[in-house]
Amino acid sequence: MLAVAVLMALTLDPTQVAGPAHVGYGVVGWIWVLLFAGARLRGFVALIAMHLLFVLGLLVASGRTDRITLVAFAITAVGVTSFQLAIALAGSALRTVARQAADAAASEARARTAEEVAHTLHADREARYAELRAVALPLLQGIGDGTLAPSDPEVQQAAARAAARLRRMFAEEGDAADALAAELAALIDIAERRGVVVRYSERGRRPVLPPDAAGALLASAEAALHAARAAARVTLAGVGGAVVVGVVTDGAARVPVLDVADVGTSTVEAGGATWVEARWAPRS
Amino acid sequence: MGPSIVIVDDHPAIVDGVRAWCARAEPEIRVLASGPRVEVALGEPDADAVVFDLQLEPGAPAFGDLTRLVDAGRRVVVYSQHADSDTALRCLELGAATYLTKAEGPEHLIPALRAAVQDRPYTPPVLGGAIAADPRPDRPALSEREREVLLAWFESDSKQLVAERFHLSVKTVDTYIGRVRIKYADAGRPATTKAALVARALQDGLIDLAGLG
Repeated sequence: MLAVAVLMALTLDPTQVAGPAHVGYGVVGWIWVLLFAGARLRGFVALIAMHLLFVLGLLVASGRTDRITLVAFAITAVGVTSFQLAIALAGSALRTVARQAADAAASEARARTAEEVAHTLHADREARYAELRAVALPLLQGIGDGTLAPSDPEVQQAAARAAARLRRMFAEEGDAADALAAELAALIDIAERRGVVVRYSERGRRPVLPPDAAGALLASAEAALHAARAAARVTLAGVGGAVVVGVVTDGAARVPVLDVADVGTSTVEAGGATWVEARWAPRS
Repeated sequence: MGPSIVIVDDHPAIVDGVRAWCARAEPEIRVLASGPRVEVALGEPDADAVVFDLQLEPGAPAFGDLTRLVDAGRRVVVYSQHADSDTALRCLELGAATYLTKAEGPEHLIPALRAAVQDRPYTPPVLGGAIAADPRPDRPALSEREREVLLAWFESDSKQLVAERFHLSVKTVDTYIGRVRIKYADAGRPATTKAALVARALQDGLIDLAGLG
């Protein structure tokens, strides 16, 4: 662009350079205004200044430094360039405002998300504390006033379950994707306290389950583990969008009948082993 | 005479344990040498198979040493404390005969070694689970039934339970599991050990040439 402007100035008679015949100022400058609309102001100003300096140099070189010519040049320069500068400035200001607005919106969104997360976490914690109060307090009261015997296996199991839940709550393993694995670990913990040797394996990627589906899978695993006498194998797998919990034991499990959407169970017995599988396979 | 092996593991207790299992095996499996470095296996070219601990040094798993063994034509049974799927699948890709986690040792190591020296597939349950749940887009394609059988094998660690569940014979369950292993041998980086697995599976009628498509 600058080269074109220079050519235009050179082809003109030196007497015309400062006058109306040199339309280069206006035309070239306006195109620059458009070209630099999305960029920084600095580049635009530099180009305009270079162009003006060049024309001034041309005038000086041709010896036309008389007052009238210089004044004519100055009037043309100021007249044309000031409009262009004004437009460019306005554009730049508009961009700054837009950017600030976008930043403000983004930070507000972040703040709202954080608030939402904190709110959910708080609600979740409240729910768990409520659950704990419902499970642990009656147990402690019962043992305290002698209505529950600590030697009763049922009481021991309930206590172990509440203890596992307490530990988890203190550890704050709030990761929803692994809540299922953590609950399963708690069930395994209970079985191991009874002296059952449990082997656990986990495979594949698992989506987050709806709470009732996770509850159903855990209920099935709990019932199966409860029947284990000496050994159990527990597996958790994510395959093709489905989540499968499998428990094989050396006992005869009685698995609760579950009526939860997208959850199916199966029980297979062979050679003294019982294999209970609960599977969540969302239809999509 | 029974098959012979080399044990590469830096835990003396593991080496002793594997030696004891081999001595009790019927027919006996002879241990020609053992040591903490891969050179002990490379220096025994007559051994039929290598039991290889993947984690010889703290830090990264010894995939480089595994590759050296495979490139030397050795049948490698990886015996690792790593339980993650990625490591197991990577070892198969590099040309290991099979992959066992140390928790699976007692029931599966001796059968895995016997299968390896015959170039026959052996897929312990945890490896089966890794294959069934393999999320990689370029994994070998499995049929729905193959995936279900493999998942069931992972869950139950009992071919009898799998057979019962799908109303199949134990032999058919074995065929499904073996066939999937051959699909994995036929994919990715070529290796003589992989070619031997595929060739043996063709001889045994486990797969046919059309199935390899």
